Amino acid sequence: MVYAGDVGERRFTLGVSGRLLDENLVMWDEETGSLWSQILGEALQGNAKGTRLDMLPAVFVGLGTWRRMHPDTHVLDLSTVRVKDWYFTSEDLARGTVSERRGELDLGIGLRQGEHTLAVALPLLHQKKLLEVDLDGVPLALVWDEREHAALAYDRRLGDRTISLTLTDRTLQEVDGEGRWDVLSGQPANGDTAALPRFPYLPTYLRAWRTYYPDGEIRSE
Amino acid sequence: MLATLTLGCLLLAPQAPASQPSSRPTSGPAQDDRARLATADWPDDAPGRQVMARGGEALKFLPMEAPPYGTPDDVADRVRDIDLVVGLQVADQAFAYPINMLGGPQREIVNDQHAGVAFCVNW
Repeated sequence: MVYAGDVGERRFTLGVSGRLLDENLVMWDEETGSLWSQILGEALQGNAKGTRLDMLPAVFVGLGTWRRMHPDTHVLDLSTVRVKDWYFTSEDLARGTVSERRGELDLGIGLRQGEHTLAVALPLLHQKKLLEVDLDGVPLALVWDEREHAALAYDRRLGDRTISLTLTDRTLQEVDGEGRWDVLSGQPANGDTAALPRFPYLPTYLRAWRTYYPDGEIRSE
Repeated sequence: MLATLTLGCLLLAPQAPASQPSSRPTSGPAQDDRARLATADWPDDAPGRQVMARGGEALKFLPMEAPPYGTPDDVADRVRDIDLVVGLQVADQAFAYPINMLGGPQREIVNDQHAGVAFCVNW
């Protein structure tokens, strides 16, 4: 996931603390030395305690897809490291499960808004292709792009309107209007309509999501 | 992401990654991960449990900032088209973070900024 480094006037530069909390990475920040939950994006101890980082709307796609979207992209250029857990490919996302040392694990996408969370199983998204949901008052469109093996999340608020969408031939179409958008980029396919705003999400093991958010909603059928 | 931190044995290995996914050869710019190791002096009541240590000394990683970037061609020997990246657009620039470079614990968090936007990519 991607967090904004600034909260108001405060900058936080984060590192690995060497600690784990419920098998989740605990981060620390260089500016105050506070300790942060990675999954919550919230400082748990120190001067920044209670501060929460905003999530930025990243997408999780294969490099080939990202390169087609952004031919001039910068790519992190480090040597590779073995990732024993939480290692997915776009093919895993298309299967909806991933094989790991702990067995076959179901995948979904997880979303958070304020204190509310929602996880949607990928097989359900594969089947529906488009799900319109409400997360703590935020109307969202969750979409599966079959060609690119990509799950995407968009905010359905455009200006002062909330729109409803259909999906046809990789194009999102406004139900009660003329708006049309490319499913992958969210860019308008016609006219001077604004782009669909992305909403932050992350691919997740459903089992892990359940552990971190035991009271959160999980949709699988 | 949410990953179990690798214990001290990895931290004490020669600086290049000990291993890497699939059967692809390890290559790419060397990153002096060990240079970022530091003593961790968390309070006794710090959340969670300490899992990174060496000789009884608790360790942490100093933040990684402004990491090296290349083009998709530059990483083609390490990242396949199907390998997942964290894709981020900031202003007019696009950034991709292959998750097989964000293994841990030395690479789980990357800090950078562009066009006045500071961000932290973590896996």
